Formats: sequence, structure tokens, C-alpha cells
Amino acid sequence: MSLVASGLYLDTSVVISLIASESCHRDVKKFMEEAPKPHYVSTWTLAEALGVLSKGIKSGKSAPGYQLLRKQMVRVGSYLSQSEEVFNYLTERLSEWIAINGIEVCDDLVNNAELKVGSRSVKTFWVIRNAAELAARFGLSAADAMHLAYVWKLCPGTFLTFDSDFVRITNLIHSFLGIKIHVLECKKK
Amino acid sequence: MKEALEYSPKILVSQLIDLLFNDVIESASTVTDQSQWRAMGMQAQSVSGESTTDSMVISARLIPVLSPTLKPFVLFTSVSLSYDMVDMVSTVDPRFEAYRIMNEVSGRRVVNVEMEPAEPPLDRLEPLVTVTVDADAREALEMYVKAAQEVCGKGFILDVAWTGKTDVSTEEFIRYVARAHTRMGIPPVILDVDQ
Repeated sequence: MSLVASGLYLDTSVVISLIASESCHRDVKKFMEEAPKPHYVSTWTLAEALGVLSKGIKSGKSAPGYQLLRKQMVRVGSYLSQSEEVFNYLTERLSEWIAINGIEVCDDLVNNAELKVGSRSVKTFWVIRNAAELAARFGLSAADAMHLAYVWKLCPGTFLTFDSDFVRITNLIHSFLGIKIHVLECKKK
Repeated sequence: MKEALEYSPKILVSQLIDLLFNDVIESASTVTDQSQWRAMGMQAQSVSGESTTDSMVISARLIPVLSPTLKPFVLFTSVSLSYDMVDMVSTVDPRFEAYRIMNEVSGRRVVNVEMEPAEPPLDRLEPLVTVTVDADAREALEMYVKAAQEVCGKGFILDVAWTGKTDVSTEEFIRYVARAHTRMGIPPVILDVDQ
């Protein structure tokens, strides 16, 4: 493994595999143990992860943790709406996971960039402005471009992902932005 | 061993078990009825004493922890607990391990341990061991979060119940439980990575 940058930025697919996958998380954990620290996620990673996990629960996938919570809630005798319950449960799960694994969350630069739209410059978040540029330059989805924008300016390091869409632009990104992308393969057991 | 037991002629069954765990005694049993106990030391010394009333209650509660095959209220009667037996029980019965972990975290406030087979989708992580502690909900849940890390990878799921009042909101309860689940490594949901 050769990682050129000082840290490791975790794509949402990596976070999901560590929290909610049975097939690949051991491989990822091993990789991360050998990778330089700090290990970063962004608020964008967290938002995406919450969406993916919530969608999984609500679509009726096997949900051991959530089902156990439902069973345990009999003891408090009062319930929330499902959306409140899922939100509270998953946000705390992610928060605890970050704490016990020593993951750092990149700070966003707020209200510090401008994006020219029409006849005026709109104040925007740095990362959205940069994501717009990267999406256009490399033909990325907005979601993928957001991650790359974080690694580019806010939390520099190697970008770790399971997303095979990045394979085709790995060299291009490295040449233009100096960002190393490591695409993991999941060998399902 | 004598020094260790001398000041405590009346002994709780749980204390007797602690002595067993800490290499002070090699085996323990009750003598003829449950009001008397006897312990054997490493060099075959014998010490006996009177069990307290409390110990009967505790022993009844510990029965499922120590050996599910023993009949109720006859813990130790004509049964010698050797290390071999303790090791065997701790290997095959998660109740013993759950009891040990929670008793340590709670400062010996475990009052009951129950185990049930988990239903799908929890069956992949089964069984579910519920430990009741003599505390209010908040304190019990704090103990639960502390104990959860140690349970990870031991082949059972830990749950906690309490004897006191439920002094947490639903939101707080969810937060405590979520932290414990994370520490035990229970996936919130199972997904493929190629999302």
C-alpha cells in the first residue's frame, strides 16, 4: 500500500461498509489500521450515511440493531414517530462510531465563497462552490464531487472509496489535484 | 485463605464465588442444607460457615447463571464448583459472562440474569442476555454502555433492565442504547457496500 498524503478521507461507501456490511468490513478495517492517521469524514459523509442507513431500515432490510432497539423500548413505555426514532438512533450510532474509532470530522468553511450565478455573485459554502467546479471538470455526480471537494481543500489526504466510478478518473484527479484515490474492491464471501 | 474468610463467617454466595474466582478457594459447596457452606483451599484446607438469609435469595437468582441444569433453590447442594466447572459454564453459557461483566461494572448490583433465543434478524448475533441491575434507568443505562465494549465479540447480545424508576426520556434512552449497540458491534441494518 502506498499512500502519498498524510491522512485518509473515508467515502460514505467505506463508512457504510464498516457500520453495516457483513462482507467487506474486515478488509476495510485492516486497510485502515495500516493507513496513516488522521482518518477523516465530512459532514457530507455523515449526511449521506444517515440517508443510506435510514433508507435501509425503512425499506425493510434486515436491521438487527434497530429491531433490538424496538424490543428494548418496551422498558421506557413511550415511543416516538418512526422518523424521530430512526433519526435519533442513527445519529447517535454514527456519533459513537466516530468517537470510539478516533475519526475526525472536517470543518466546513461557511459563507466564505462566491459562485457567479446570472448577474450576481451568490455567497455559498466553499465545498459547494468547489464541488460545482469538480463536477464540471471531471464529469462527476454532485454527490461524488462533494467528497472530492472536501479532500481537495478542507481535509487533504488519500480518498478511500468502494465506488468504482472513480477508477476511470484516478490518474486524472491525481494529475490535476494531487489527490490520490484508492478504490477498494469488496470480495463478497 | 483462612485470613481471607476469618472475618466473614457469614458469607454471601456471590462473595463465595468471588473467592473462587480470585484463587482464594478451589471449590465451594453447601453442607446438608443451604444455611451452611464449606470451601476447600488450594492445599485442601477446609473452611465452613453460615450462609446469610440474603445469600439464599442471591443463590436462587444465580442459578441460571451458574448452571441451567441445577434445580431451583439447590445451588451448591451436593454440587462442588471447581474451576473446571466454572470454565465449562462460562464457555457454554453466556449468562455467566454477562453476569460477570455487569456485576463488575455495576459494583455487584446484578439481581437477575435471563437469556432468550433471539428472533430474526437478531438470531445471527444470538442469544440475548438481559441483566437486571438494582438501579434507576439512567444509572443502569450508563452501566450498559460501559459493559457493552467488553461484550463485543463474545457471542451474545447484552440487554439491561433496572429495578428502580425510569428516569430517562425516550430520546435519552435511544441515545444510550445506540451507544451500547455501537460498542457491541451490532449493525443497525445490513447493507451491501455497493450502494
